[in-house]
Amino acid sequence: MEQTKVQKLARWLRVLVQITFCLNIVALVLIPGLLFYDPYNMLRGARDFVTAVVWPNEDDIVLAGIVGVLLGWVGVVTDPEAFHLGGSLFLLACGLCSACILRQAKWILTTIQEGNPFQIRNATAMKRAALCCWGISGAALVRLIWELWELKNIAPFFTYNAAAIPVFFMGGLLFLVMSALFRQAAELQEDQDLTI
Amino acid sequence: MGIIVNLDVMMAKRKVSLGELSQKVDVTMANLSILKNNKARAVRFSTLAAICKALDCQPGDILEYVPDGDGEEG
Repeated sequence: MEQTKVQKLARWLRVLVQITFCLNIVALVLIPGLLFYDPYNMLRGARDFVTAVVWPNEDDIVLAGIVGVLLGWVGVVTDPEAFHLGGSLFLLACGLCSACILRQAKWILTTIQEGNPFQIRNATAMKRAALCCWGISGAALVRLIWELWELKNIAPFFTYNAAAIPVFFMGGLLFLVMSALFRQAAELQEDQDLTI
Repeated sequence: MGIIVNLDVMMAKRKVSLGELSQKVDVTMANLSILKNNKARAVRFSTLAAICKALDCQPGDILEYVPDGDGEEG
């Protein structure tokens, strides 16, 4: 069957979402380790941590990598201050929520690819994505309040974290509206299917 | 109950099978089956006209209104 333009786009987007989902899961596992290396610059921390566990001048780099990741998780429990427990929990919450959003997106894109997107299940998936967006927004709000309390100045208002609060809150609202639209479309589709 | 489709009764009276009717009215057997089993939400006038023509009957012979059993109607 000839695929429509939307279906082709959905196929490519689904591949990208799948890759992002896998990277998200890998990043989730690495959180405590990369925060230990650099709590202020996540990407630099990730680079240093991955470099340390993948090229540790050991014979078995896989084992060294697993040990490095496990040490990060053990460290966050045994030495919360050095391993930035608060930051780890924040990133873990955000990472889990974003993984959930990506999973919902993958499901919706699969149904678009199959040419049957107007389903009640897609509406439910969008509602779930909305809740996850609000989860990220809430976590960012908690972090902002925590930083304001710690620093006692307005600097935390001018960070990406502060910008994430309204962005993800509005993202959640958008998903909720889309969910209602998909529900309505699914009902219309059912009516259409049962009209002989 | 609402609207009941008595398509199976008319088909039996005219001795027409589902396959034959499907060919005559150009509606798939799956859709005719939905109609016959009262699972349909709506019927297009064009479909109704085609069925009436094929079975040589009136819409009233196929569709029947049965009041709900809540005591307010009938």
